[in-house]
Amino acid sequence: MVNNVSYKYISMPIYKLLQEFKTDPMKVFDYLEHVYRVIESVETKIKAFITLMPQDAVFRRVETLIKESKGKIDSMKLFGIPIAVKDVISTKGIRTTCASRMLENYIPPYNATVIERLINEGSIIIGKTNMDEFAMGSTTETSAFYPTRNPWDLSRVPGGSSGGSAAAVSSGEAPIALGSDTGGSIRNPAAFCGIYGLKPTYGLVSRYGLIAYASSMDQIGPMARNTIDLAILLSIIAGHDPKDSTSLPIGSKNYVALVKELVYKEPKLRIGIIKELFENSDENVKVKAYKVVDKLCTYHECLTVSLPYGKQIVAAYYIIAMAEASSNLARFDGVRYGLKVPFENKSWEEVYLEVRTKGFGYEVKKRVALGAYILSVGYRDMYYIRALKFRRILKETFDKIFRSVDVVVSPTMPILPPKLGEFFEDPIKIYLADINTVIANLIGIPAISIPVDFYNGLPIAIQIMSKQLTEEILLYLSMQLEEKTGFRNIIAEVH
Amino acid sequence: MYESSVIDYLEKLALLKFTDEEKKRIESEIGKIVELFSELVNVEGLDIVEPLYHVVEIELPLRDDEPLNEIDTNHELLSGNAVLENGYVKAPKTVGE
Repeated sequence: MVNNVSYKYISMPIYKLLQEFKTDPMKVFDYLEHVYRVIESVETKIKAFITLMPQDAVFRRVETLIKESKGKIDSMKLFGIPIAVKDVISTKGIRTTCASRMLENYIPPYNATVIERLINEGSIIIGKTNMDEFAMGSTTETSAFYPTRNPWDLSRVPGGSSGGSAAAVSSGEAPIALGSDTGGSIRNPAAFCGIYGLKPTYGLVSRYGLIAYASSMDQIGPMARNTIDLAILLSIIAGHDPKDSTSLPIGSKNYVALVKELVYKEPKLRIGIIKELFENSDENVKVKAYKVVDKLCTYHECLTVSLPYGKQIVAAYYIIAMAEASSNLARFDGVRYGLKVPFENKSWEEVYLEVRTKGFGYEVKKRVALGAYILSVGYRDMYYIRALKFRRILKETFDKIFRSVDVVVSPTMPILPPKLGEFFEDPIKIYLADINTVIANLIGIPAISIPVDFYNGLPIAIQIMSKQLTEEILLYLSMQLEEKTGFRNIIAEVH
Repeated sequence: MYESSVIDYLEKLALLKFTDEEKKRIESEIGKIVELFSELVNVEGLDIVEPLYHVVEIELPLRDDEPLNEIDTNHELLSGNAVLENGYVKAPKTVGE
């Protein structure tokens, strides 16, 4: 525990903080003072941030905010609420690195749409969080700068790729955060760090300003310490954006009101338990996850559903992700963006090769090279097209499942958070651990990770997925579980 | 273990170089990764479905060709990241002597 910090204050949900701040805007300074005390004490151990905003700069920003917001404070949905933002989301004037040497000095000249929306609601960005390089990884170890550590056990990884965001929220360095999720990058670290994380339906949240990894699967989403905070953040970032051509032509919803209404009406749902995803999990995870599912099944109707695919799902995901990555990351040519190398008397090819060789780390190079291979003549049909065909079969499989159940449940991760370096020798093992989470990205459906219990001091979480654009159902079940388990507003004690 | 000629081919294809240490790593990993990818070979029914490139199968929306924001006459959008000379972006030569 950090000295001179009120943990009651630090762990307060943002919907309560908002009431305090609106009654007395000066309390924003008070709260931030506590937040920075926590950061000062734990950040050297956790390393959640790549760029941390200095406290005095943040205080000046709050002063301006209070002046500019006179008369409108009551209508602002995040007035004075600090937020940590994954370093893959563009922030005007704040360095955005993607945890890569390639963008080490990149300062975006514009804000992502989600950032514009947060600022308009009065939120304060306190820093940009660490991640796997270009979001390629599930442990935050591929960051070009340093790994982030799990606040519950510093010898373990926080998950990834949004590991910095998850670690910041679970250690009390920020009450909420934004992450991005291409194959589980919000849900995996949320599960490993004991917080709530949601990957929205593809197209619900604008990707404008999100530095692309695999465009057909990337989504930005909220991370928080309780369901209502998650719903508040989702309500703000969701909704159509003309700047993103894959943005769905629908408005946002008031997810807080919807969840409260559902909790009040308490509809009975049909819950599908994906047998294989439980059985393939580590024993400790499986036992705890089944136990919590039982809590849902005492009220709702549960039935077992079967998923006839395993490794094929992971294969299809990595083929598509690598193919799209090899194309997306071609933009870092050292001319418009990227690492600067002198190019006097050198050809375009020489410069391009040097920029990519020096700018990208191993995992990124590997995925870009394999992506190019997958798309090359002779292999495109064998790998890429086959993966896309499998993607349709998987979607049809789930369309069918969702005709008999409303949601499906599984553990979020089949394993407990691994030790740093544990998977270095066997990357396939860590790829395969993504099996539960990549499904939602492949077929564009929403998925939530809900922390439910601990095993030997390490958090365990379950994942619930539902049909496209039914986020409120996920939040409703999350709220119900939160009531039953009492797993809310918990902050890790960092030793 | 994959032959180093495959790694050379990958480097050429992707226009990047692996360090010696990275080469050792990828040589030991690539076989396992390709083995994983080959899991799709035996999936039934692949021949009769169309590839699903994108889960949102909507038409690409079009809008009038009008700027939404002010035009960036000062090259503000590039200034932090590109080398500019007389308002032009400087790039390496693309044709020989």
